[in-house]
Amino acid sequence: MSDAQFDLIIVGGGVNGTGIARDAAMRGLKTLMLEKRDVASGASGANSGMIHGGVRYLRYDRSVTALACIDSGYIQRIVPHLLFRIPFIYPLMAEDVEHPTFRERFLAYGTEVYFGAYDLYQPAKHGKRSVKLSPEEVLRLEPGLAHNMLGGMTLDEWGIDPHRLCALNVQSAQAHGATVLTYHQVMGFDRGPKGELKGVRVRDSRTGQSTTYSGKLVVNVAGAWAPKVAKLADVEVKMRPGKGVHLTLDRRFSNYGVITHAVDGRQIFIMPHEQTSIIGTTDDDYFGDPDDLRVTQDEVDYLLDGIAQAIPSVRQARVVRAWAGLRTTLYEYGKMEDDLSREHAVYDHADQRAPNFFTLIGGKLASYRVQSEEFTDLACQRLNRTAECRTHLEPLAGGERFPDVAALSKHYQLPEPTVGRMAYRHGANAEKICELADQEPALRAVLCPCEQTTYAEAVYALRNENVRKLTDLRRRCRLGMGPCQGTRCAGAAAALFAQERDLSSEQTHRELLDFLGARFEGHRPVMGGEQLAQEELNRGNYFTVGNLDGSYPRE
Amino acid sequence: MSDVLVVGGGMAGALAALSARRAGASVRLVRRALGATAMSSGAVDVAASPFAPGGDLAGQAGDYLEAAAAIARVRPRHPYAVLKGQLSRLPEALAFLVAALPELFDPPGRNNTLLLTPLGTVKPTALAQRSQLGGDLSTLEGPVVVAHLGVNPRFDATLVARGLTAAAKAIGRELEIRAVEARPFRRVEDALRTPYELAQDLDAPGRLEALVEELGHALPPGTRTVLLPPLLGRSTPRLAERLSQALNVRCFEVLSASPSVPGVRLQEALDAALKAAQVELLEMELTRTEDGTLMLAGAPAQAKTVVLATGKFIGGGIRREARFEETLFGLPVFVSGRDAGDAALGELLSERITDDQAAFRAGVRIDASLRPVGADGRPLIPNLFAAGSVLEGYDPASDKTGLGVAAFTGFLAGEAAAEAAGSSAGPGGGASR
Repeated sequence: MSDAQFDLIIVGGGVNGTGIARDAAMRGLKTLMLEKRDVASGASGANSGMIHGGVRYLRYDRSVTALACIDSGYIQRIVPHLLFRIPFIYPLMAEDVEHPTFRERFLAYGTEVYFGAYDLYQPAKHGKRSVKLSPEEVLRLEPGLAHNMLGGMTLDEWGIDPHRLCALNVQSAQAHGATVLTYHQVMGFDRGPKGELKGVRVRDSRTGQSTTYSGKLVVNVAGAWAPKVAKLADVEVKMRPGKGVHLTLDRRFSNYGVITHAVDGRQIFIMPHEQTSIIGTTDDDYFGDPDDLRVTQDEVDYLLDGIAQAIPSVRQARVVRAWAGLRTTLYEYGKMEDDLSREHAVYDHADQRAPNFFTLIGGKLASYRVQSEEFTDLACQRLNRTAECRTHLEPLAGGERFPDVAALSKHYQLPEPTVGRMAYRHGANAEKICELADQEPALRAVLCPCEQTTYAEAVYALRNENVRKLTDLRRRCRLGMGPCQGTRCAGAAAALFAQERDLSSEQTHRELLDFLGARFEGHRPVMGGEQLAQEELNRGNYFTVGNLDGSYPRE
Repeated sequence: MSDVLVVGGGMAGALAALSARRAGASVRLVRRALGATAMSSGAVDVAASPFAPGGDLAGQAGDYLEAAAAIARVRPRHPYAVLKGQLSRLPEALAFLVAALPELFDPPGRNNTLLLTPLGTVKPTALAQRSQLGGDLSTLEGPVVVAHLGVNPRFDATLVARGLTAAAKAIGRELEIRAVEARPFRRVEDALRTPYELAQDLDAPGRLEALVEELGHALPPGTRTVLLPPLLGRSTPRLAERLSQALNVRCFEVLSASPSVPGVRLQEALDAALKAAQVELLEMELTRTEDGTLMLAGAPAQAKTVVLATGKFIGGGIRREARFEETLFGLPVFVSGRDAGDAALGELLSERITDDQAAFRAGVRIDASLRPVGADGRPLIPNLFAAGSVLEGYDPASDKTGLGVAAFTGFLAGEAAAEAAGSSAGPGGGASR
């Protein structure tokens, strides 16, 4: 038993958990955050990576849109470097352009009005107003689109690296005194005479050791795992998890994001994201175990078939991986998945004889900060503390200013695109990474050629960004997330990890196999075409040459 | 018109061309570009015992011919099984390869050597380049030094040294092993250069001497063996030997992953052997018209017989868009004993990366004469033979028989194609048949 008592124990290291950890720590609460894997390894890392207002929710959740837009503006203020603009085109398709049907004309007009309504929210998130385009203008911007259209509307949105957003929130929380334990799973709760929560029993999944931490309040922000966590306190949390599948292409496939319709009429999109393009998403009720989430061939086909209606050449694209996350949508009976509210909710489980225990579920990435603020307000009130929220005012690490990429590149003799990617991920802290590379010339080399991640950047992450396992490095500096999916970088990254952590050769090889195995899970549903050649090369490097499969007894 | 047209220029295609030449045929070899052989470790795996479990290094180090025979018994679709009637000629095929590439290879022993990899693991292989061979864990003489060469961080001497120590212990050897750093590459730009460029750098006049001096300072007294990153010369022959002589210490390279300098060295040695044997070597796209004529640069590529050695997915011989297909002749593709055309890919891939992945064994089925056949076992196209990783039943990228099968099937297919072309047997060719 650890004798320190925490004011607040947070269960879950997604965007809400890390957001609350930062807010609570900044307000002076003695805070502990527990996460059973790495930060952002659930839905917070498996979303579209957009700080968007949610034009889709405008139909039924005007408040969600408004909140998201305002908070998107705040997020831009605290991590300006981590955001990138994604202009979308919504082509208005028609079977026969000469004779559009009433429905097609109605849809075109309706979209214009609708996007006009969304424009009212754009200033809050520093977005541009929508523009109506002629078919010729649309095709000039996006020549790969099918030609049967009446025109198009534009829509301005923002993309973000959600993994880094969570990692930066954790860093800030730690800087303000919070304790953050990743790879620590909650096994049970200690209860008082009235059933009130007094502590948390935790198992370190790497060492197997158990510890108990006592705390005044406990908040469950475990996302899709929230019902499981609540059950440990005999509390029922109702949720209606929605499975969302995305595909990653090996390159930026279109110039703009393109919104179109799947075979069943649902909206889906393809958009450039970092060095790749992302196709998303499905939305289906999920009744299985959140630890056992897999992508099916049907889901892959559904997405590709839908996008191919707007961009036929997507059939020739190389899909490098498929991934899934679970939306933690609030429980409602009878509604279609798409119509479920993206609202969030805070439950006080005192009514289920578990005082001091709360659950926060639902909500959106774009609103994580204000959701966290809302809960932290509540926590402060319960703890009789008065402190103002400052998470919208104080920048996250590196967010204080954007560095001069050209000057850094020149001064440190590093290629400008490399420094550019570094600055995107680290803002002002790119200077610290350049400094590392300057002290140790071997660290100048590029570790992951796909993402232009230098050894220096990986070392910086290993030393400063709570990396516990090799796979975590992917979520800090996009290692292995590009077209080769780790073929080039995984072995070298494992060696670097071993050096920094002084691992034995066997530990190093197990970390490497975990990394490769996790990547393979995403490749499996989309294997085909050129990806088979990539996988053959990958197997050649790690199994034929590396003999990783033959080096240890099978588990 | 040539007697034999070989399509594909990796290990299988090159050996097919060379063995057809030896049998007296005129040979033309067409390839699109370099393929999987140039990306290989540069060593030739033949077989490791299918019964040696993971981690059993002593078991993996056993007799590779016995291991190949065992594979032929337990994996009925493996080319060693399909060709088991001729498996006794495997040593002859390897000897033929060694004789064709005297700059790279010495005749192999009967057992697999255990060679160090850049990941710090150890792998069994039958035939390694002379520059790699001395790294054999079973015979390595200590004290051993693993040398890091300056700013190129892709090779981690500490990890290799730790792995070597652990592996030596596993086979009951106590070796004194340490990692040191020499700095032949010390310029800031060197950190950004590819292995090919670094190896080419060592080819330049004066660079070997500089490396000798660097290593001379770095090596502790009494060092018997030095293991270096796989950069020992892009095209200079016997650079490792010259380094050993100059330092009076045995110097070797560890194996290489892709991008692989020893792989390119192997490919270039094959190309040199092809030229020496007067094989006409063309790098261009070969296509096939609807009526079945093979076309080269707009004209029919006339040949009496054809050897298909186009590789698997990297080489481009097998492709999968909606279904698996063989890309030149449209031959049926088999996997796990059945026609793969209608199989969903999900059925052919296991969930864990280290589990069996049938999809990577997809390929063309052959009979014992190396002729592509259909499900009924009957040859599909007259005078067509196939060799290498385009074949069904083995996973060149992970079952540790990759280049060995390529060399063996290439050797046999070349002979069969020459014979079918009706050419007279050259000296020695007929006698061995």
